[in-house]
Amino acid sequence: MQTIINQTGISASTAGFDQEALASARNFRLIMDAMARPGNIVRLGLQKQPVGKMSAGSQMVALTLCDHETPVLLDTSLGEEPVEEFFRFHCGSSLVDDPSKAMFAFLSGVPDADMLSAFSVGTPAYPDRSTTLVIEVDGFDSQPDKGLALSGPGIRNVHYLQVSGIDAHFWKWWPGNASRFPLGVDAILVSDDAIVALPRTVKLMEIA
Amino acid sequence: MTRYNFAYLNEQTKKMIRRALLKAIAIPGYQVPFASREMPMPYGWGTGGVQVTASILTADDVLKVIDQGADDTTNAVSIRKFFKKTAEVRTTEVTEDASVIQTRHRIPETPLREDQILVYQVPIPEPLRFLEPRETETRKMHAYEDYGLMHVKLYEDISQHGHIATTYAYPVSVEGRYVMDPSPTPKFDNPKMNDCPALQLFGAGREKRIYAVPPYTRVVSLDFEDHPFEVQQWDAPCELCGARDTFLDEVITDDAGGRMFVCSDTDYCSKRQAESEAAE
Amino acid sequence: MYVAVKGGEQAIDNAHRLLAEKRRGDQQVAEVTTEQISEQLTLAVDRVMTEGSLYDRSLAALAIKQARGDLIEAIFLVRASRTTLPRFGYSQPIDTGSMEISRRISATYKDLPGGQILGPTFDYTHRLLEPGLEDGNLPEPAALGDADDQPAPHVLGLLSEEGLMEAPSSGGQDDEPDDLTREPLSFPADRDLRLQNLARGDEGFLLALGYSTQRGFARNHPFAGEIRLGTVEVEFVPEELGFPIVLGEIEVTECEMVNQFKGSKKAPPQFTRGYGLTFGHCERKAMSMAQVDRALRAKELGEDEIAPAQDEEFVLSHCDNVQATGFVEHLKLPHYVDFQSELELVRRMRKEQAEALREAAE
Repeated sequence: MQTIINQTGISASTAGFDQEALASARNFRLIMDAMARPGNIVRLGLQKQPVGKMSAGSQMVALTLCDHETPVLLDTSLGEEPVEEFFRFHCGSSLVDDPSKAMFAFLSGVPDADMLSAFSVGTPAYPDRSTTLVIEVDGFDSQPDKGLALSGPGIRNVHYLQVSGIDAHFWKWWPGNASRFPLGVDAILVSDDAIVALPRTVKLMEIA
Repeated sequence: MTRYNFAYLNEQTKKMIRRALLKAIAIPGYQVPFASREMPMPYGWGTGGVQVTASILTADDVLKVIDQGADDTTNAVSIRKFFKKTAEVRTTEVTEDASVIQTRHRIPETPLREDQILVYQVPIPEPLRFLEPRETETRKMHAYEDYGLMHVKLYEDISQHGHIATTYAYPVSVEGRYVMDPSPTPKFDNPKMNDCPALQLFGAGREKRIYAVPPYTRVVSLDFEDHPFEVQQWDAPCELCGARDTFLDEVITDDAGGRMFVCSDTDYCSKRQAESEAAE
Repeated sequence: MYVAVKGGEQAIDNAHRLLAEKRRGDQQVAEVTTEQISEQLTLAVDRVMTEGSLYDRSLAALAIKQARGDLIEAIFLVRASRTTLPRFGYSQPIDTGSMEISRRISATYKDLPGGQILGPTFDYTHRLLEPGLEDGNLPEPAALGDADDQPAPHVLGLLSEEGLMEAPSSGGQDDEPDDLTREPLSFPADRDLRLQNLARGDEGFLLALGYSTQRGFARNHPFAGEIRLGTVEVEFVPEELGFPIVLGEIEVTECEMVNQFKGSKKAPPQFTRGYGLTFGHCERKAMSMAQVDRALRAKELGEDEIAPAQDEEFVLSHCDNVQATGFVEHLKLPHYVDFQSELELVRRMRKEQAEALREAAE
């Protein structure tokens, strides 16, 4: 099982720096590592109370990546007062309803097919102008020869992944997303303080 | 005097660069535009690489900086000092000991590992720029995967010179989609980019672009069936360490045409010299 | 035995010390103060503030001192310092119509409401060196006119009333101005972005381009409709207050060029505008900027794009002197790895050619 655990220690020599800057640097490295190695289960290793239905992991992703330049969409279940407050107060992000305008979407579960296809996939000239989905799930595992076989850039040969608490239609929808490359959305699945990233380059095979 | 934020950049700027990095990793070889900032070193001197390094660096990192393969070239020294001062990170000259390596014009000879990141300084990120100076046109070519112009140029080289006359910044195709500039590394280094265990990040500050090659990604140098890609070769080994498989610099030793060839990767060369001394 | 040169670190430290010594010059001579620079090299300070994109006289003066008078280096220092500053938001647009004017001229009317005010200008000086200045002298006080309460409306506004002048245009789809320091420039760029780019652009580069339009490369008959210099208030609306408060005053130079326009299928013959604005007193820059702004509107006005000054991507990509100087000067950095690759290729090609010639001879 490939699990990367956050090192919490901050070296003494850098103690003079702003702790928040050091923490977000550490979190970003873990998120970037997850994106560069799709399917790897990366634990952010931070104890944080959920805000509404938003897990510690999602909060760390939001705090690390979102600010007033990133319009954020919340699904109906996440879009309650404390979560909205979290984004306005801690990130300064504006909240939007139109999926095509969202740079990030924080979702309590997989949205229906209509909404999934409404997120921005970028344009041929600017495929980076796309939405990143952050979806809450129940848990991850990476037993060999089970669940999903992932391949693509960032993966040496094949990487096995099992995700619990995710609607099956996500996996049905994904190949269509990946086939539009370089257009497409990227996803970060979150369970508690663990994340798994699925950039649009990931090819999936379901194993019975 | 105000104390700078960790790694110089403010948090807002780092967030913007970090978002661009994630997109770059998700779209291998595609140049993501980013709002590059004015850095305290000149544009063209590694501001893109410095902004990328500043955005990925953590307090636990060990940083190595090379220019032309060497740790003690003046610009490498200057950038290393910058991060020592603004991020107080540990630095090293030993490739194996580094977690982040910022480079200008070379890839280390020592094979990289999964837990290492290579950050390239890029002057002109657009591989098509010298064929078509207009951004408006090259952007369309990438969008429609229209790389005919590049193939025509390379083939013209062959018909004129007998081989492709590009020796550095030799264009590559990433995962069969985007044609990418590998930065002005000699084509000798191109094969090291393919299926590399380390994450490779590219920063072009003046041109405001970031791009990436994730680990284990297919990177192929453009070529033709009848003219396959090949790397430079030297007639003699390194005169200091005897290596036959490294990129060699030519050093002029006197004013009578005397010259010798030595490894451009100073860390690799001195390690080999130490090993052979120990064996004696 | 050859030993690779080491000691880059020490060389750099020594070079920095030598630079500091050279900056100070002969230590028998009194050291120049930033206050003196700010008060007596005002136009240098104005240029550094304008192209450095930061209105701060004392920082600009410090930059000039530190840069040994190299203004592009000073602009670079100011820009780099700007990167470290937090951003609170955008000010309200300044109102140059209500400027407290210290200079105001129009080349298109002999007299006009508010009058012509020559102000502090080199224009009619004879360019003769003044030996007396070497030892310093106290200038004779200038006679000051009575403050005139008569308003000085924009000259181009007077033309607009007659319908002869086009309405000001952003040339873009939306009203919210973009900001190239937050979003990288992409093409085609709207007029708001072009103006921001030109305002930060190199005076010399814009001067040459503006000049080229007068010599027939995109000729469009410019008249200096109005140049005004003076102070304006800067207002800001803090989120928590919701109404504008005055942050302070800044000095600016504004130039509006009037250009002939033959008309197109959509628009009748009329005059068109070119706009220039700088911090402080940078008149040459403001005028050049206005000429280039007008030239860059070729596409919008349906004119043939035939000259460098009309080429948006060419002008905007190359007018920033901090970018330009960095990349030109980076050629000083070692390139021996790439050069080695080229050496190897040239040697191989020469060898192949010699062999081919020999074979042909046999």
